[in-house]
Amino acid sequence: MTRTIATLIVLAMLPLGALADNSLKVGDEITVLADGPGKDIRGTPHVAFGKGVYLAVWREGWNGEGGTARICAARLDRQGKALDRKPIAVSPSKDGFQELPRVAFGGGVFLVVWQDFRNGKDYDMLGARISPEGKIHDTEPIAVAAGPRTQSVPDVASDGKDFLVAWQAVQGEENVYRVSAARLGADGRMGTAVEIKSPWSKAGACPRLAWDGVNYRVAFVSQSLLSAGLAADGRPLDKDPVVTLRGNLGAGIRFAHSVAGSPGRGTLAVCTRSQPDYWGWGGPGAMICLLLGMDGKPDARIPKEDYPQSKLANWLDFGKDQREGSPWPYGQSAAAWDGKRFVAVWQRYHISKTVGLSNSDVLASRVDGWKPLDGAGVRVAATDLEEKGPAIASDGDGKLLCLYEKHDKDGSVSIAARILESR
Amino acid sequence: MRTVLGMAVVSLAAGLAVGPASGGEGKSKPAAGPATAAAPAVPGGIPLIVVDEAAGDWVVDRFAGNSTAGYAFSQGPASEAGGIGRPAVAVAPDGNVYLATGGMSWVKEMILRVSPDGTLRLLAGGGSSLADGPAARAKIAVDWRGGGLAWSKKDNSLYFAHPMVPAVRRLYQKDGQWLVESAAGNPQKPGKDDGPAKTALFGEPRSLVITSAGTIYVLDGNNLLRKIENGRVSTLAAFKGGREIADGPLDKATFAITNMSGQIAPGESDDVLYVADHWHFAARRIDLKTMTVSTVTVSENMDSPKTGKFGRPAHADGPALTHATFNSGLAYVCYDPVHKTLWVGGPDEHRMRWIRDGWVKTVTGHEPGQWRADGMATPAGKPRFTWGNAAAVDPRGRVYITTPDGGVWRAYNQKEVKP
Repeated sequence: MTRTIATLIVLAMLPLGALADNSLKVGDEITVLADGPGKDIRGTPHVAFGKGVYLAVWREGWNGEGGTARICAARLDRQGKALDRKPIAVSPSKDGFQELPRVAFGGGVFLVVWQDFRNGKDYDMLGARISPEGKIHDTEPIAVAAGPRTQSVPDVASDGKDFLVAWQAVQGEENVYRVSAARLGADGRMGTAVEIKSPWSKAGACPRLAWDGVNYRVAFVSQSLLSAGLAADGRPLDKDPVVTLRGNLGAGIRFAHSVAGSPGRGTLAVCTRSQPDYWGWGGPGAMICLLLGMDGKPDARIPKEDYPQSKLANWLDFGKDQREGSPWPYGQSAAAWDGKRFVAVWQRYHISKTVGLSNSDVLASRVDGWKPLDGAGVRVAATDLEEKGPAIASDGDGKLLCLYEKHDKDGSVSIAARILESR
Repeated sequence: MRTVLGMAVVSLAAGLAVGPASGGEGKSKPAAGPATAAAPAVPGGIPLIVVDEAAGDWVVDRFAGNSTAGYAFSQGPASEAGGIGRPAVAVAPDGNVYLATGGMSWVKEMILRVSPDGTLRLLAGGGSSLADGPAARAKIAVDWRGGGLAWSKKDNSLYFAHPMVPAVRRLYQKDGQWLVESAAGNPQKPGKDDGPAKTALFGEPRSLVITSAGTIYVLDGNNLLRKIENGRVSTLAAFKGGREIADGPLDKATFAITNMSGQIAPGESDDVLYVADHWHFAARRIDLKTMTVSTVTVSENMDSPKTGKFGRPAHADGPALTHATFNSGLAYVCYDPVHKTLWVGGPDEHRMRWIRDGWVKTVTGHEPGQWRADGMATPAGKPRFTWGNAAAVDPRGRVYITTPDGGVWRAYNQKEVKP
């Protein structure tokens, strides 16, 4: 009894925010519309929130030779309940296959972009708007970037009114990828594309976009991880992109990165660190948080790496040894702003024979600025099946929907989801 | 004591540019022979780089993968494809080239095909099933770090193996669909049992060679040489370990093999295998008829990587058994049936070398800065070969080289063949 009273006194002395901050709650697993045409093969989910609904998008079907992968979408309410009986085919086509969908909400509509192989030669980047009621506005897809040669790895973000789209492309006689971006209005009209130039190399790839309340920020790889600011109209703000994180050679950082913006505070970048390797040259495995200020520069208080042997303050997760079964965070991540803090989700593999990676799980943590708040992460999906490829979106009020691929032992893949409550 | 001349004689006697340059029973590390070249002021009396002037005019172009494309996997024009990492390579007689890769960051093991028109397509992978069935559901688990990939003319199939999955599996096409099946071993159960292919067990299969008759040789773990023939698995040898290198009967020879892909390679006939004996800094030749092992090349500075007997630094050219050196082990061997040579190399060589007439010689990559510059240029001249492995040779004599910087390059003598 005495202990109970003491506990109550201590709790009463804590600020209300601290009480609410003590946990990241993970809801039950939901399977997102598994009865699509993909014959149990699907992947690469992404999600956005707007006007009271989440729109989940994914690749439905096999994208290899003989496959007919298509981009599908489904709406879910704030509790993760499906609002559609069947997956929405975003851009039906007889030809080729479709991959890597991304989605954002702005100006009252969702914009889905993806890479499309319907011409049978190389990728074009296409898009389509979908209303919160599930109606497709663009039955003929928007040609976001559909010139000769490859245009791929799309991303999209919104300032709340319109969109910015970004992609990588090779053009002309060159064999060098460059990153481009363009404003795309909520009315479906494309703006002029601009190229994001690396200061020391022409090349850039894998753009990821966020809106920080004032400007867009595009983070991309070019030996190191770089970022550049763009105004709401798509105009570049920086003469040169800012170095976010310097690269390593060999087995070093691979920069499977994700970004999320927070109004007026900057952009969170999450990226992976080393693959395991026989010689340990790449250092430990880790999932890293970096907070980029409104000027794009990393927060100066973030600890510097020097082949550390213990977890650094900005690391979400850490795999320090290569023994059988040891955890090894690696690969894909995602992040969202919940209205008060960031929430990051990521993959954690386990070391298996010959320094391989197996049995991926999905973990999550709240992030205050660049500091993870949930230790080595809260388990979102951690069975002996493979759970990987996480995506996350927030309703802005402390609830988030996390999507991921769930690989069954028979080889079938479903898109699973869980509601996270961050406060 | 062998001499350089002696090695050339042995090579010619074998009818090969590459030949067994040693082969005595239980022979220890070969002794140094006298230098025969003019004696410039370099350690060992032989230039560190000996260019094979007879090799022709070799160029290198980007074949598959693009180091600027980032980590996301993509299909289409092979030289524009991203995310294929450093793959294992196998060549089919019809001109198709198969790649197996762990990707760069999303750990999506895949088998890919580059068709003769240069289009790259995904054939298998991304799934998690170890059972027989559609390739779209299959867990592949093959990459350069430790896996085997080889084409069988006998049944027009691609065979693959990886230490993480204790079986030799087969990728084949039926009615337009790509399928995966276990050809030998049980992917869920490791072991060493010989016997019928379906009940035999494998431990950690690392490397494959398939003969023209369809016999499959498997390096299982770092020390078991297994054979799959007529539906049965047998163990040919359990390699002895040992720091000292010893030739002779297969059951007495010593090896120090590391766990990477391509550690065994086909030879000039179905009765010959080459071995990248990594930590002996040596290429070894196994004569399967006589079941004997000989050393084809061994690093002069193996015992003392900084100096060696002649004080020659890593990756120096010269007589293969006395003066040549490799940096940090011998990374690969790859027999070239068109040029009748053996491509060899260690990490960080930044050039391509082969063994001709008993010498390790440089074929290309030796011009100052040739292969250290920006790896984005194409065609030729500027690939970045931090650690290039010659992985396969096609029937036209084009050599496929895998690199850590994203994908596969192709080297060829431009007077012999056009891309």
